[in-house]
Amino acid sequence: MFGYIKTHRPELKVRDDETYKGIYCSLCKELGKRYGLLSRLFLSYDSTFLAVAMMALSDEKICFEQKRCPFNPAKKCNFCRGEHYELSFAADVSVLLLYNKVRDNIKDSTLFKAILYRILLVMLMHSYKKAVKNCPDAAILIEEYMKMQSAVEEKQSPSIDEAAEPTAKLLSEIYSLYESDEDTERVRARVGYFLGRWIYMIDAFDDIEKDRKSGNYNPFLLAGQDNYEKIKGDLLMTVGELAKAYELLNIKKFGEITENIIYDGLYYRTLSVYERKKSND
Amino acid sequence: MIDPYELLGVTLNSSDDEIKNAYREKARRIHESDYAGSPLSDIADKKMKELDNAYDAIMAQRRQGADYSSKNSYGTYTNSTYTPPTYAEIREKIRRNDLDGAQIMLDNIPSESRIAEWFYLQGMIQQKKGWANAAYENYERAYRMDSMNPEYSKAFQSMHNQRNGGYRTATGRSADSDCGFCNICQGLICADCCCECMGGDIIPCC
Repeated sequence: MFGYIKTHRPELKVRDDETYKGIYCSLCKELGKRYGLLSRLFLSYDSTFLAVAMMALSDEKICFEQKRCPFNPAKKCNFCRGEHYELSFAADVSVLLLYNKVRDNIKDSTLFKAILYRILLVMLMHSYKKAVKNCPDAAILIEEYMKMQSAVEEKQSPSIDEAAEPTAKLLSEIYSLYESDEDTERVRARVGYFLGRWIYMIDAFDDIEKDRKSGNYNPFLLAGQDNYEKIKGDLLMTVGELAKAYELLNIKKFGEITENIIYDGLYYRTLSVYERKKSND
Repeated sequence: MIDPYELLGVTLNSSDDEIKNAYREKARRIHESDYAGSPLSDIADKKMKELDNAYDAIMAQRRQGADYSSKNSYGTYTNSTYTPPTYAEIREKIRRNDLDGAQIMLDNIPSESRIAEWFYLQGMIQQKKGWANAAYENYERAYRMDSMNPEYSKAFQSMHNQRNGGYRTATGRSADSDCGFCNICQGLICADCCCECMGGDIIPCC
């Protein structure tokens, strides 16, 4: 579920790659600061993109300073100078999403895995409660949409549109939360919608074999879609709609990074999952 | 108040040509996308106007009222073929993003009477909702029922192109993934084989 939204480094300038890594490291630092050591391990590219996307839309200038990585003293990292609400928001959302994802995984898991997940859940409980306090709006949204997702799965809907809708709607809300300008809010909501949709779809695509064996809900299986070519098309069509909305945003900075992720990252990721599925058969 | 330079992604030091190209690049991305089936089409129109105004403002500042080179501005979106009253009403609802209202009206039309327009409008509702798969299927149906209709054709082709990564071309990227390195290696290996047939050897270890 996490880690699909990445840059495509071959097309990224070195300085933009450094900037992106800097934001990733800054998010790591923020997670550690707000939630302690454990939550830091669940840093993801997806929440990094959330932070980058929000930063891209604000006028605030961001400077970086070099310091040593607390995990790997041999490595030097770039960290954002000062406090940035985009990082704290992304950190809160990471914890909330992770906690709910683990909780969700329990019911689909074998006994042994379920026990492991439950232990993990207990370890995350303290951070989760803190995240709920820090960001109650996001917490409520995530709980609601997890319920919507369960409902769709119980219904065993073969419609990919319907199956992806809860995740799509969730990210639509998260990406447009607290936006004061009405037009920008609508555009951000649309971008978030298709991002959530794409994440859900690529995850389901990746899990096709696993779900076929375990009997877990997978809309592609229910729709009888063995045609991987068609699924690839569905995914790229989703990114196409995303890109259309993205073009209407007023990007103030980090445009090279956001553009790389949307036009190259998502594209090549789709292709690589497709190639992997094709060769597995 | 939006800074025209920031909007176009140029600076005070940019040349006139650079500004013209920046305008064209940004305008092309919006213009080449089909916003008819997007709930953001009003924002797309606004953005086009903002880009036009930004370009005009910068050029006016620079030329101090003298004639400046035309940017070949892009027009606004046109949208209409004659349709019977009910369908026209549904169209209007869709245009105003009253998707629920439009859906109710569409549902009221019995399936035997559903013409291409019905599927096109259903596709539009789905696309505005974000249900891209259903939208694509409905546009395809409308197109197959009436392939001469420019609207149906545009809607279907536009989504069809996206399926191969066509949305990337407006940014100057190629639609199909051509892994540059793969092509280079393929080419070199072929050249090496041909060379070896002739008695030479480009790549000694192959």
